Amino acid sequence: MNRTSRFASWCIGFSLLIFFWELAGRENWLGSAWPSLSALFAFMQDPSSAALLLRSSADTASNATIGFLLGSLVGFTLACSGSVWTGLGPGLATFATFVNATPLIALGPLLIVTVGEEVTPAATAGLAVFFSVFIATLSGLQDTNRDQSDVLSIYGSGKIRALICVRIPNAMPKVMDGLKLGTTAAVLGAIIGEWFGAPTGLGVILVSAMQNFQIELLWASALCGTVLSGLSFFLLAAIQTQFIKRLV
Amino acid sequence: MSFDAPTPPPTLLEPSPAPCTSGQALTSTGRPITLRSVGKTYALDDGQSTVRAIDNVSMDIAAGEFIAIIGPSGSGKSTLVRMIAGLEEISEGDITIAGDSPRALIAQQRLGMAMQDHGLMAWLSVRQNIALPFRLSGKVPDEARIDRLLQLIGLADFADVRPTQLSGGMKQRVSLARALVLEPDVLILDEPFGALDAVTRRQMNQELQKIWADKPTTTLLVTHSLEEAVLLADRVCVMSPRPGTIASVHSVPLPRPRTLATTFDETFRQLVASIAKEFDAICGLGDAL
Repeated sequence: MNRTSRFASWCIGFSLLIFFWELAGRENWLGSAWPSLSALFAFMQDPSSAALLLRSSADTASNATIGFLLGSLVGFTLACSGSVWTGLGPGLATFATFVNATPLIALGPLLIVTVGEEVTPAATAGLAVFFSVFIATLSGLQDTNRDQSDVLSIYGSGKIRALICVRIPNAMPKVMDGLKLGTTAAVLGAIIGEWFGAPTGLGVILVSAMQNFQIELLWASALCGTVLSGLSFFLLAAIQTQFIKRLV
Repeated sequence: MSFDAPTPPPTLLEPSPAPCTSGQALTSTGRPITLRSVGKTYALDDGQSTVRAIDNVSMDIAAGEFIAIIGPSGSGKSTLVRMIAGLEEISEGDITIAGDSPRALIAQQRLGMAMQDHGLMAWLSVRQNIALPFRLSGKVPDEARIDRLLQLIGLADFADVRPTQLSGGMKQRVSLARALVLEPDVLILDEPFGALDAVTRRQMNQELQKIWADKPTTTLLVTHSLEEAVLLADRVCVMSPRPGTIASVHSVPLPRPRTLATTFDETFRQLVASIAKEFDAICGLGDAL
């Protein structure tokens, strides 16, 4: 299938989705809680709604970005530490698994009472990103093949120098994969963090709209969250493509 | 012309007096290597079974000598050179390089090694790959030396190219240059040309001769090619099937520099035929001939 046919197939599939969504909303196939797309976009174009959604999206994006940067940094640093000081590796892996196994929904209230509601969204975003970056980095660092390991051994390089000169560059494709997965996790983590009582953000709007049965606002907030996730994912995918092109 | 008859299986191999040269004598560098009753036993994954890979290998290699090691697959050729390089622990016996352990040589960054899969770093350019040993050992890259090696391997125009854009032969040349960049006292070549086609391999043999002649360092070459072994080495060691031992050693009385024309020389052909016959006998193919 060439590029044009692939694009045509995508257009057909997407148009069908839009068409059936619109039809389901107009004909109330799924009840009154399923709005038509036209009604949804009309609501989003309303100046007051648009301002609220934009402001909330910006807050969520800000929380997600801070969480993404912090979670990635901690995940990457701990994985590198585990690779250099191999004695730390199993303990760090267990810690990361424990953090990942604890549901964010359970951590949210704990964070609210410990770090406060202002910081909780960024913290939950960071926790959501941490595991994927940690595992991807650790896996990438262990990916050095025998010939590369021999080169490191033959030139008597220390662990830190080997890490900087060979292991980290070699791990970067996997690290980028981890970061790419982390972008969507960061948006989700930020929204969950906001859900628990942050002053602003899409999570706050979602809770409020759900409790007040503001169907269009609820759907519009969810759509904004999806767009935010998608944009961050594609942004990182574009960076990854350029990065890998330079790397290999 | 005559050549040395195959020697019986030795327990101690004496170094050849000096690399056989014609014209101007080569200035040998490098360090002598001594192996005494070296053995290697691997424990298998079940934790109980073991495999005897190398058995009672003793050998004296002179400073600046070029040794080729041939043998059937699984005879422990790579294991032997990896033990000399300090990359594998020895199970028994002793390996010394000018009186020091292989680890001491590594600590001094006096060892160079090129392998079949070249081990080049995909994200580094040719120049950066050659400079890598400097960076790994915390030294400032000697750009003049790197330039000279780039010229020597004929890749000066490809200095800024990534390995993915190079052919197999070019990658091996880069690997060879990287192995030589710190001017090692011991050079180990573990089937570096094994994956190359016949023409490229012959070209690489000439490149290696040129580089080695520039600074004849103690060199161990593992190869499956008898012709390559005889063309390049001062002595050819034939290993027996597992557990690997040195079955015989053949001195190569051909003058240097050796060229492709050398391969048509009667002495060369007789020596290759003689080693091949013995090699086949070692591998149990004698009756098939």
